[in-house]
Amino acid sequence: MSNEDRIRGWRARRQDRNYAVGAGVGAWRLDPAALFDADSTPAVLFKPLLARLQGEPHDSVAARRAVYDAIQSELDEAVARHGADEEIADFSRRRLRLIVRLLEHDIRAGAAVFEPGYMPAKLAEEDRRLGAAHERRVQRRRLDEAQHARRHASRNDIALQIELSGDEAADLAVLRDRMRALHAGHPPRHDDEGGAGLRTLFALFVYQLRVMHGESRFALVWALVGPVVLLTLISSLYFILGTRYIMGMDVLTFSLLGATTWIMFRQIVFRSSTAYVSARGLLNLPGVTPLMCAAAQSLLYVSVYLAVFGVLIVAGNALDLVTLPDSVAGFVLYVVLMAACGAAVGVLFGAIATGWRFFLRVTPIIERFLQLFSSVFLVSEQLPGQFRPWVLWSPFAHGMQLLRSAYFDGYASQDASLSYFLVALVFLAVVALAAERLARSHVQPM
Amino acid sequence: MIHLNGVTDEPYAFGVRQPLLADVDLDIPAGRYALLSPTPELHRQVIDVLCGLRPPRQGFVRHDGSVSWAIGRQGFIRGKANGLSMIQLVCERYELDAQATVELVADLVSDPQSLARPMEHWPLYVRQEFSFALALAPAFDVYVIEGTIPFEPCRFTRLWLALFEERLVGRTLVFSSYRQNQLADYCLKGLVYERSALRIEDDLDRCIGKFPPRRSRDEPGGAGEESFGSDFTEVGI
Repeated sequence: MSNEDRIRGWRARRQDRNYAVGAGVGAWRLDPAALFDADSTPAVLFKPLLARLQGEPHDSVAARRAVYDAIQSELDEAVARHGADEEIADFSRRRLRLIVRLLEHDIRAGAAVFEPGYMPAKLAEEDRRLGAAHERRVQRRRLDEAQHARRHASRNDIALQIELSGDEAADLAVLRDRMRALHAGHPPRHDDEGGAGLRTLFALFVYQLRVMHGESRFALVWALVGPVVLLTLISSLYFILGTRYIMGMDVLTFSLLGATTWIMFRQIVFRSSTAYVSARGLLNLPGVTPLMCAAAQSLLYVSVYLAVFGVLIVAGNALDLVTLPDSVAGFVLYVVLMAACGAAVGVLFGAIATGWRFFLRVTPIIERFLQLFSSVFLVSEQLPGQFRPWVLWSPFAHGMQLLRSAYFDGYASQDASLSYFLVALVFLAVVALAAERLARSHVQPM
Repeated sequence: MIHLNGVTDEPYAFGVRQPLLADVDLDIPAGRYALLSPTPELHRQVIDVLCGLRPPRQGFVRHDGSVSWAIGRQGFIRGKANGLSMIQLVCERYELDAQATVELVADLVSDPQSLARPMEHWPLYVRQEFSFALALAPAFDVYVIEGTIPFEPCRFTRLWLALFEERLVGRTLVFSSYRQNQLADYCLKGLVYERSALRIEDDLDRCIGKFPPRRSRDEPGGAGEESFGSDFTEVGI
């Protein structure tokens, strides 16, 4: 700056009456507090730059470059002096370069850059972009640091400290205590330890009961309707023929036993086979197997139909329509054995259906066929001798007749064989389990 | 922790019998493993076998310690039962105090009211949160995670991660995800499934380079969308 320039500047300032000596310095000085704040306006850098440019020779490119270089080095000094973050220092340098570029462009275009209120047209917009880019860089650095901390924790097998607010930290303390209490009461054990299977089966049974209860209580009432319809059908056939007693058994009770037991058998077969093939969501819980799903369904339906039996017999007896069982224990035992037959058939059907999906469409036909030969509508003793073998091949016929023998005082089946029934049941169970073993690895959790 | 002994498996997948594993003998000791392979579609089946959810056709899988379910999978979190019934079932299965477990899960998830509603009506995020929250209740020694570890910035993520981080120390993680960053963040070794065989590789970065994780193509909204996306960019839309 030559002396002439200084005098010219002094005269210009003298013209402003409010001028106090030294007040011009404020317009020149860089304010580090504003400079290193990413939210500040570009004016914090632009104004001092323009003031300096006005106060210095600025006619040539070289002169202006000297001013720019001076402010650049002053900025670097401010960064070093205040120990500013590298990110924000970088942001300030970029901002300075942007201002210089736009200002230089306007000066070369002949714009009146020293007029009060002047600001390069694109400065605000470009500065916003610069700010956004800076924000992204800060974000990325934060992510990088978080990732580094995470990987450091993994490599050293230590817990990464997650940043939490005050409330969340309090919640975490409570949750941590709860989790530790749960783990403390839960000794490490192998999944295949004995007893785990039965416990899971029972849990599954309770779960299915809850599903049924939550789904529709009307479903339980509906369970009564099926047997009532079938027993009415069977009884009315006999009543039309004028029969009141069949070999010492009253027709209504006879029909009730046949209808309810068979409907239970049928439900167990269908429900357990479907559960075997389709309850694949639950298989995602370790310890739950398709066999267990089928068994839980069987258990559920034998419980439901024992209750149905209870309701129908008590209600029927109150109305004087149905006789009470001679041996309750024997009757319940045979109902449960028939249910076991149903479960075995269900698992067998399920195992077959795992390999051949279409098979479940065929099972109702097989069930209808079995119903004809299972002493549902009549007992073998009602048939002429030459036709009895047509019925007695079926172990279910033996089961049903044994059930009626246990129920009625006046009827003891001559044809039914307990040993045949039990051997057939064991045989069925073994075949079902063998088929299940073959099919098991093909039932995939869903 | 997980031992595979002569495991051969050929399940049906995508309509055909897949030779999934062929006479695999492998001991997976404690550690943090990223499941990587050129065929992420079959990870699900591999995880079924590892978790013991499905026995292989031949051979057997033995667990030392308790192995979790495939956390992050929709799995058993569906159907007409409500969340409380499912917590009861899990508690019975793992001999846990049901009340304490309900409190843990309800205090952790974003929407505790949904626990009393049937699971079939839950939105996806509720199912995910439930699966992750419930997995903290049993004292698992091996955590198998299929999918994405929670990352959305919310209260559930922060609290769950804080608890999980503490629990995972000294335990085993088997992690299958298409998110490469998460695999690199949480895992140290690669559990590589390739050509019907499983092996452990120590250099995870090399494994990830060789088998870059990608979305399984059988997942809805997976590669199909991506290929559409690339088609549009190619034609300049």
